[in-house]
Amino acid sequence: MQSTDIRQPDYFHKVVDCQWACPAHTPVPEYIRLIAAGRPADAYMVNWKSNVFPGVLGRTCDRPCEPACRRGRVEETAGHTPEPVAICRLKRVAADTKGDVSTLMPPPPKSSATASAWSASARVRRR
Amino acid sequence: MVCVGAGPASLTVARDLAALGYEVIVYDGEAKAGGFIRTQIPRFRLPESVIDEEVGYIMNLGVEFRSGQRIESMRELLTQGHDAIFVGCGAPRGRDLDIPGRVEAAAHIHIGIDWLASVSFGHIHQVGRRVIVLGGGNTAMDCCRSARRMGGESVTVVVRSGFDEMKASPWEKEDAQHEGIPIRNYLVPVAFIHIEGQLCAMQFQKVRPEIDANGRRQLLPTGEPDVEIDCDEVLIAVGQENAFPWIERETGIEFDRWGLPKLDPKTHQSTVPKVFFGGDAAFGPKNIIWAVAHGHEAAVSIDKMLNGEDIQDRPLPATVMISQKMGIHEWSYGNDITNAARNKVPWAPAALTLNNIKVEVELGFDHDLAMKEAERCLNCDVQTVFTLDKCIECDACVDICPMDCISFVANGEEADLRQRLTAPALNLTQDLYVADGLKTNRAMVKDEDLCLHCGLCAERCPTGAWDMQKFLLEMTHAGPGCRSGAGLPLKVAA
Repeated sequence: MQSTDIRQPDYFHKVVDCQWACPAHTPVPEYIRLIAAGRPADAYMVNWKSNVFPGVLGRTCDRPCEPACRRGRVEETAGHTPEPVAICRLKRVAADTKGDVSTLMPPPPKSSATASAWSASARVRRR
Repeated sequence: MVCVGAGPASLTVARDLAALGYEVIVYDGEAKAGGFIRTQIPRFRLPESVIDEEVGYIMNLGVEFRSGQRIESMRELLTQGHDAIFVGCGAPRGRDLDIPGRVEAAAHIHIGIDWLASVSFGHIHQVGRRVIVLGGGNTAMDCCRSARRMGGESVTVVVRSGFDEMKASPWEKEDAQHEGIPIRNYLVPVAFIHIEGQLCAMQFQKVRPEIDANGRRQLLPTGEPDVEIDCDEVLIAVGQENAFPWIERETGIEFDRWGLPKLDPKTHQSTVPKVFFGGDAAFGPKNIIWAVAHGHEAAVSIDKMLNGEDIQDRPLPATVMISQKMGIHEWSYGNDITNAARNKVPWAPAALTLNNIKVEVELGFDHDLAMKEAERCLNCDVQTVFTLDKCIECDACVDICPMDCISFVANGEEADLRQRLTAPALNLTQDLYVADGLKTNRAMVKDEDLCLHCGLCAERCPTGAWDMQKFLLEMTHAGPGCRSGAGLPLKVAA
């Protein structure tokens, strides 16, 4: 086999089974860590950017991420069936406990310059 | 630009583009925005306050919502000089069932999605004592659980196919059964039985599945007598269809033989360049998260088009890799693996929820349960990254890996290689990570399938050839990042 080209975005993306399975490619482990770190507002904004309706989807999503979750493949079975992480309902936790996120939202674009600045700062550095 | 319909696909387009300074107008026939989210999902699953809040964030970006204005003519819309039009009007037509008695007993038979909307708007407050719901999808589950809350003492779901083939998500079927709603499978509707228009039962033929010569599953009559189920009301939830009576053919927007618009699957562009489709209106009924994904892609197309760029030329997602190493045996992510089982979301008492359709059933995880559940995540985005020229082939990583993911072997074809690893790599949907050209001419091969992302390989490695690096992937959304910068702005949006 050819050596793997790990610079191709798809290669490591596929390893993140939940994110790969999500049609909007929500960075799931990133927001779950933010919840665990006690930062639900940031977890909410990671979701908001990707899937726009975290509170709605945290209750109603068809959850393509969960059948894909690695946990369901590798979990040690201590008398129970291996089950995925409850990704969808953790999304709801971020929405339920985020507090006021209005200051984290992009400003209404009075001028397109402010909007572009938000958009640019919200993007990660491009390779 | 204009969005037709205020469902999740349109609102995603509106958010992505309004935040960039585009002037976005959203039309919808209803008084409030949300589309399917607001009209069809029952309140006991989704409180209206959540919809109001999240729709509000989008409207606050300066989106103009023209409520109660259903677009009746695409031809007319096209004459209004908009730079782009996004069609996100959903799949609004529920399938009907043309069998004897349907017309005569029509007053007691309803199309599921229309009935759910009427319930949601408060136009309907009660249902018959005995209710049959036809269909096996999520709409059927919402119908039966709603009926249960509106006076349906005996609610039965009847499905043509088997339990496992039902389209409803497994947890939605469980939730319905949990509320005492039986699901009866392999019954095909034959007739509505009525006395002078007063519905009293439904007749069903018993069938069994059989695989034909082409491998296709067929439902064949078992030959047993038909089954009758008594009922006062029937809800038909056997699928949804697209309907575009408002798009005139002379506009140049072409449709395929299924009645769906002819679209570029990547850009969502129709046969009229400035008209785009997304959500259920694009490729038929799917779900909310697909509608959102479509909205992002259409917004990229529109942003590029209005900047004079080739909409086919779409940049790959941006990625960042950040080492998680803090010390020799210390990582900036929690790499302990908990063996805890999945936590169940607590429910409000049934006595409460079954008597009021507006009481949310699930209470959500509390703080402690949320923390426990979050700990179960394996951090699959913290990647095992191998640097070939640092490796001294000591095999320490092979020894310590709890899942036998890592091998140092002679390279070969994939099928052969998969068999020769420390543990055979049998899950073909998961890739092998190959680094060829070690000093001994072997290759490092890692099976990604069962890796726990525990970082033990990197802790053990004496030379730092393995590192745990967080992989962040940022999808290409509308905005400067989706543009090449090569095109000239056609027009500066107000």
